[in-house]
Amino acid sequence: MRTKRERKVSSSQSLEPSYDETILGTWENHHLFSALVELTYRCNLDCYFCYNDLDLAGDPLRLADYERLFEEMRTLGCLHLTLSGGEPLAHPDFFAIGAKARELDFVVRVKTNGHGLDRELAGRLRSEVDPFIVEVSLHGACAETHDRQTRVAGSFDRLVHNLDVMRATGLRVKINTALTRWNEREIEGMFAIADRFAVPLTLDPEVTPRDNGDRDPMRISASPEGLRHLVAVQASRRKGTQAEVLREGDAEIHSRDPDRHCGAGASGIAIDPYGNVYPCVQWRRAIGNVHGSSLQGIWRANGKLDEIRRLTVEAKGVVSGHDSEVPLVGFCPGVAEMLTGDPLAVPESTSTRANVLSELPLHPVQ
Amino acid sequence: MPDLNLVFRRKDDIRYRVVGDEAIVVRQNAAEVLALNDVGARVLELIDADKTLAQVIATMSGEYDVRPDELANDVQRFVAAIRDAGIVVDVSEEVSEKVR
Repeated sequence: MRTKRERKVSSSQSLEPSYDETILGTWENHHLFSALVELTYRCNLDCYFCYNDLDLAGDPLRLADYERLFEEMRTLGCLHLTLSGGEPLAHPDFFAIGAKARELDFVVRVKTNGHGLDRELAGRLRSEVDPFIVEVSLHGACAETHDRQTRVAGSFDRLVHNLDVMRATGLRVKINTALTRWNEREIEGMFAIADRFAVPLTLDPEVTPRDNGDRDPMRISASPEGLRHLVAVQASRRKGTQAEVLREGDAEIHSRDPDRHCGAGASGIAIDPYGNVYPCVQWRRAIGNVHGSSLQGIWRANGKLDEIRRLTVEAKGVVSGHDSEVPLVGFCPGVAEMLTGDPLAVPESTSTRANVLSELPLHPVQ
Repeated sequence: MPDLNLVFRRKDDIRYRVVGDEAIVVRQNAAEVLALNDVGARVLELIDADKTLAQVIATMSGEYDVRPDELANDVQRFVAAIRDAGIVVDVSEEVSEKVR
């Protein structure tokens, strides 16, 4: 029963944005705030560096499972929900799942390759799911490079066409690109495509292993020269500093010094198509399975999750104690565990990136 | 200040959750995040295109130890603020706009 509270309704104090503090609060109070759900590993493209473990087996979650799962997430206070894959639109119940997410007032992100988002599907996505943003993957500034990565001829031309369609439909769009040895000479061209459609482009400087540990994708990791070029282009575009070369998760660095490295398992989770729950999409250490277990139970009483939360606190010490003139940008305990077996060990690829950055001059933010 | 007989609803692009003692409100169309205190969060919960402002205030008067006139005044001012911020809309205005 709700008790009477001695609080005034203060219109003057009630619209203050304090999002950083809120995010930090979710980390510190273990408030589930964001979830990434991999709906399926099916895909209409065949990307060379796809990180999904296509041999993973299990009982796929069905529409009713997702409906129950989303209800639980809402009860836990989760606001941000990312529908990912594979290609999420390849799930036979994608629109019903997305509509449920909308009904429950999630801020929905859809991570898609964009290949199937023609006028009809883009329209349905807008009207039935109304996502906050649609994130599409671009792998190069020309068909030769993009199609080399997707291994589907015509995928570049189709994506560019669909970007036009998505914008015309009123969808908010963002482009994600992993910087690779194949596309590192096309950075300006990829920004030009993003500019043409007036959408943001985020470049991830790291290619990670597959979720089954296969390191083959790392063969096309960007070269040090490619990384330097990315830094130069970004600095030129944003008039910023070298520290802008961040991985996606680094965007959650906040004004106040947090007590841990990241929100993995503290405010965020990832769930694969078979119901396995992970602390983060990049930290593939299962902490439970929603088949037969409630998400609330997994979230609230879980020794494995306690261990993850302890490790993210220790990971902060790894980064702050790193012997370098620049921050250990992009350190990820999940990737570290995948590459070294130890979530607190700094992988060679992360050290290399930090070293490259330390060679570059800092430009003042203007 | 909005009339007590008006009915409001959250705009279609609004998403929100209560986190701790505040509500985080996302205005999708503006890509903007706002934070409301716990009392503001309760007002937002109660605004559902079904209740008049007077009914919202009546519900809250059983929950908060505040004089009724003071509560009514504060809620009206708060609703005016979130209406101006594009978080809620007066349902009757929407209807009259459609008729027009």
